[in-house]
Amino acid sequence: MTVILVSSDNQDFKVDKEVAERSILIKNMLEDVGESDSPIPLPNVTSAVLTKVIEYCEHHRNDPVQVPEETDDPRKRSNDIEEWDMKFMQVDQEMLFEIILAANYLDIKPLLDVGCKTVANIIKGKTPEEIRKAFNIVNDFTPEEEAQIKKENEWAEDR
Amino acid sequence: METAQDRFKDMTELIFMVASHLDHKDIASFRLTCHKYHDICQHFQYCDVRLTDRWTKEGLQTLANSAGLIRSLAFSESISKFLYVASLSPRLTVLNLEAVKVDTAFDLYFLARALSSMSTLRSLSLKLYTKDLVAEETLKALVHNLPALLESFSLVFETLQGQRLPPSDEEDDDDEVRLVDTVSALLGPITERKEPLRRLTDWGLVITFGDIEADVIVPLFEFLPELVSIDVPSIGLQAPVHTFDVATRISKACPKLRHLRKLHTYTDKEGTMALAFLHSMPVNTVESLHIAQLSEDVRTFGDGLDFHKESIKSIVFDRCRWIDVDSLVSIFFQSSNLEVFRISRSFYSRFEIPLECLVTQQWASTKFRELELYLRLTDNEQNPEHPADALTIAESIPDWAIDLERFYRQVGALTQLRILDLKVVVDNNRRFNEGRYLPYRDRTFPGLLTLEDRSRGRLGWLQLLDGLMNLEELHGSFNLDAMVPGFGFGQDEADWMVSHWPRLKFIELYTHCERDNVVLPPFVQSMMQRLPGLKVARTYTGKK
Repeated sequence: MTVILVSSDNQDFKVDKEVAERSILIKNMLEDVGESDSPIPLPNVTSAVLTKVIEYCEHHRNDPVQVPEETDDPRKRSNDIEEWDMKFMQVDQEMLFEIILAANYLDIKPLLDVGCKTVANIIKGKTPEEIRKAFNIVNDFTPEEEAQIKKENEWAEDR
Repeated sequence: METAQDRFKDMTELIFMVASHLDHKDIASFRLTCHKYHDICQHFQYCDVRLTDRWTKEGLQTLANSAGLIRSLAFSESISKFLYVASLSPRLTVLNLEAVKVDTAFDLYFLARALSSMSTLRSLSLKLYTKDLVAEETLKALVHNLPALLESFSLVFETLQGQRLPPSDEEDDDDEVRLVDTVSALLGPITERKEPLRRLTDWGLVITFGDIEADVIVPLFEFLPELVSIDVPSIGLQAPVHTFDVATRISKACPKLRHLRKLHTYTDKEGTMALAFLHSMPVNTVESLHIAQLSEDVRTFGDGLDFHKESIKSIVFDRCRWIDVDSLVSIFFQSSNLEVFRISRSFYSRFEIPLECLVTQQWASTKFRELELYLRLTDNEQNPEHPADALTIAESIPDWAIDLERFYRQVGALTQLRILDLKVVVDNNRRFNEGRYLPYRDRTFPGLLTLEDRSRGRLGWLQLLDGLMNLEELHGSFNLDAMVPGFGFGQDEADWMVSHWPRLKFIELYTHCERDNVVLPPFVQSMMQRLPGLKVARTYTGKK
């Protein structure tokens, strides 16, 4: 069975239902409306981004459903991205953020994870100034505040 | 128009997700970029804290202000510093006190009462050292004050005395009494535990230089009815009957016990207590046994394991001096649910498993996930006579290779195997004579990494391992440059591994040093390219 997804720029995408249902948002919508041929509008996702998202879902169509982690420790690893996913994420920075936002909107947790890990990998090893430059962040600290935070970092650096 | 980057940067929950993948060093940089990210990163900055002497008074005050974020706390400083932070951390779930000096009853009660107030604590690991306190008194005070939701408890108790002091019968002096009264007034009195710890499933206890009195420890287990795994305690071992009685009482108090560890052998060098547990626990209940560093002859573990041959899933013997080989071998033939079998040796180990003993029967289990073996090959297998001739495939397989082939076939049937670690036992006399430059080819399993090539009349058994689709780690003595003569590792073998072991993440390959450079052959490099994440451990010797 197939479903039709409509991007924000009114392009139709015909995809297998099991592929579309990698998105929890779409899965819930399909469950709510039951058997229907009506196209599903996705007003927050452009066709360029939806193409990428569908490519991801096609590749991972047979992956087992991800079980939420039970651990209380929120610290995760960002170096365990699969090779295919890593290549998939080799896009320009604006597209990377578009994919993350789409994954968040469509509720595709594994894609969101891979996206956030990719951003984390960009941050790794950079100085604060380099991070600001990479993501266009405005430094709104006073010199005193910055000095205080640096001091806090020193106490905690020996882990 | 607002870019995706701008929209992304405004979404706190997404920034939080990104920060969750950063380590402490990168968190430190990220929180210095702007106020917003600083606030988001506070959670990670103080989630997992280690107190060291870097924490000045000012730092502690800052930490105290963020104490609500602390989930895990480790320290090796004074108890007061710990209490200052811990008492302000209402969500603390993991506490790791690494080297805390507890010398007086005051210190002990202070610690015990502080612990009892940490109602959210799930995991507690304590390493205490003392000059004067005795283990029984300390353990009792702690167990009676452990918080009710605790799931895992571990205590390493080190006395600075060369030998354990007996419990003191002397009256406490006035100062001590006054200090205890002060703690009682501040934190409430020490109370006797009434309710069992219904969530505690894992119990660790190591007492250096001594054992513990059975009359103290056995009643404590009445409070631990849900225990699933324990460090087998070292109890005063006056007589075997006494040992068996203690093990019986503890296993009755803890009917859900399934996993036994004995990683410390300060006094019980023969593992008597672990053996008593194996004998006294209900038949076919023990699922795992981990024994380490037994230094005296232990010949009877096989008898104990015999009682649990249907249930046992994991057996690990670490650096023991002696284990009866017949017992070890019978485990393979009798335990149909075995998933993990690991055996490691130290320089002082005196046992060895002959390959021919291990292949006389079919192994009972094909469920192995981890297999680590030190095997003695017969002289013929280790140094085949006239190898160049003997390695050619004649009408039938040479005699010396028959046991090896049987062994590889057994290993090849273990389709769930994730870790394979095979090492050849090298005779200690040879080790002394030939020193550290003993050629690695003498430690290499012949033919394990070689494909049979009938067109060239070459033997090899790698093709027998094509069922190991889940193999992730291959450890052992696998020398590329000095394989046993006649066996080789080349492009065909590398290609075979890539296509048959797609999950391989680690392989140990010895090679030789060429003018200070260790260069892996091209076919190994091609394996690394085609198996992303594959780590090749490169070890080399100075001589061929």
